[in-house]
Amino acid sequence: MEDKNLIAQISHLKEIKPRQEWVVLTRQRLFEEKAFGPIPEQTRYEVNLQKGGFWATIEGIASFMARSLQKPAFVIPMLALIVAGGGVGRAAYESLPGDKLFPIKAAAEQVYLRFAGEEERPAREFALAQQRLADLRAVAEQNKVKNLPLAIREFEANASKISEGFLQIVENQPSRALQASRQIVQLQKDKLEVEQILGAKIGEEQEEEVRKATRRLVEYELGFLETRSLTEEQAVLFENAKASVGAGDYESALEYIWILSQGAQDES
Amino acid sequence: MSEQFGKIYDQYVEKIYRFIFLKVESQEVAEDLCSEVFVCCLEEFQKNSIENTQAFLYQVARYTIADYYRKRAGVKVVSIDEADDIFEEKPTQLQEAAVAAEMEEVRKALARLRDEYQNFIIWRYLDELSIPEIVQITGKTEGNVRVGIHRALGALREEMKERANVQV
Repeated sequence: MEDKNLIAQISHLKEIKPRQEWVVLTRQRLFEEKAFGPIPEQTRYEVNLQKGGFWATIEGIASFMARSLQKPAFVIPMLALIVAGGGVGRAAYESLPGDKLFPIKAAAEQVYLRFAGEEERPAREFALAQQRLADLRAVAEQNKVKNLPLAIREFEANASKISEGFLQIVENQPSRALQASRQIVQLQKDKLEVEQILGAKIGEEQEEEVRKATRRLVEYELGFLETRSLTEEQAVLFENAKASVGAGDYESALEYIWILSQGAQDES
Repeated sequence: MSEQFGKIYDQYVEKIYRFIFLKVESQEVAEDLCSEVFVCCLEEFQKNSIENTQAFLYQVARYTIADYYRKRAGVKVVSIDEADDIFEEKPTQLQEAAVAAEMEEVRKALARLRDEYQNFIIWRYLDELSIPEIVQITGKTEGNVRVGIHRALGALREEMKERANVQV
């Protein structure tokens, strides 16, 4: 084969290109996270306050509220102010990450979370993660490319909290973990849909943590069920769960265990 | 400054991605490693001035790939045959199918060459770098680079011949 022909063949490899969505997303992330430095957690809702005009005023109020809401004594007056704000309050409620009024919404959510007792907290954190995922979906569907990195970051931060919480429940209160796992499974399914819209994976680290916790939970539940007497139908579900574990599919195993446990509850 | 880095990113992201992909043969891994390269480049860009951006990016890409394989104890997880979905889907016309098949053959043959030869072929014939540019990346003399490219091409030809014989 002549050099010329070989070189012509090599040049076919120029067809190899990265996915356009990934190129755009990575560019955005580099700029958001690195070029301007990571946004410190405590000042996260205080960015861009040096601008003038109407939005500077709104942002100033938002920032003041965000800071004030972290002090319990200010919570009620601030919430009242938000309610009295009427239109602004509603607009803040409907805002998405990256929008001017989103800091108000985020601050109010933090208060909602802060006042939750230990029992309620996981459910509230889960609700917030669902909300951030819904925000991310809206941002993607409305093609607000500039808001995308922040929306992803917000979701991942919330997802991280709930995956940590889930891991703790599995470790410390495994009897409560089955219920929590149902919510996590639902969140994973919703996340998959959003990933299809985005054409990119999100929250991979959190997913790995959830996978580990799911595995531990399935092993715990199967161990527990082995000590119980099961009906014929339950025994089939139990075997299916074990087969799924054998195939490394812990999510399906969890589904079988869930159905089995629901049947057991109905009987009792 | 951010605008300047944006231009660097736009100019090199495809090349660096392809350079990495041809060595790791997995879209996901190539994306991750390519991001790492640009994060590293940006950090350096913010701290110091980079004398030769292109050479710097390829050098970081090489270290990043080497580090990846070191961490994975040299095991390539995704086989060459599994990585087909990286190419855009083509209409099933005969001519395009033939080009796709040729491309596949070159890719597999290239993946079997030693790392240095892969680099020479990618830089010279895919990224169309000049000999002095390759000298800047490798730190070798111009003569060594020329000889290296010649040998790399010969090795690729041999590899493709072997593959063709196996298939017959």
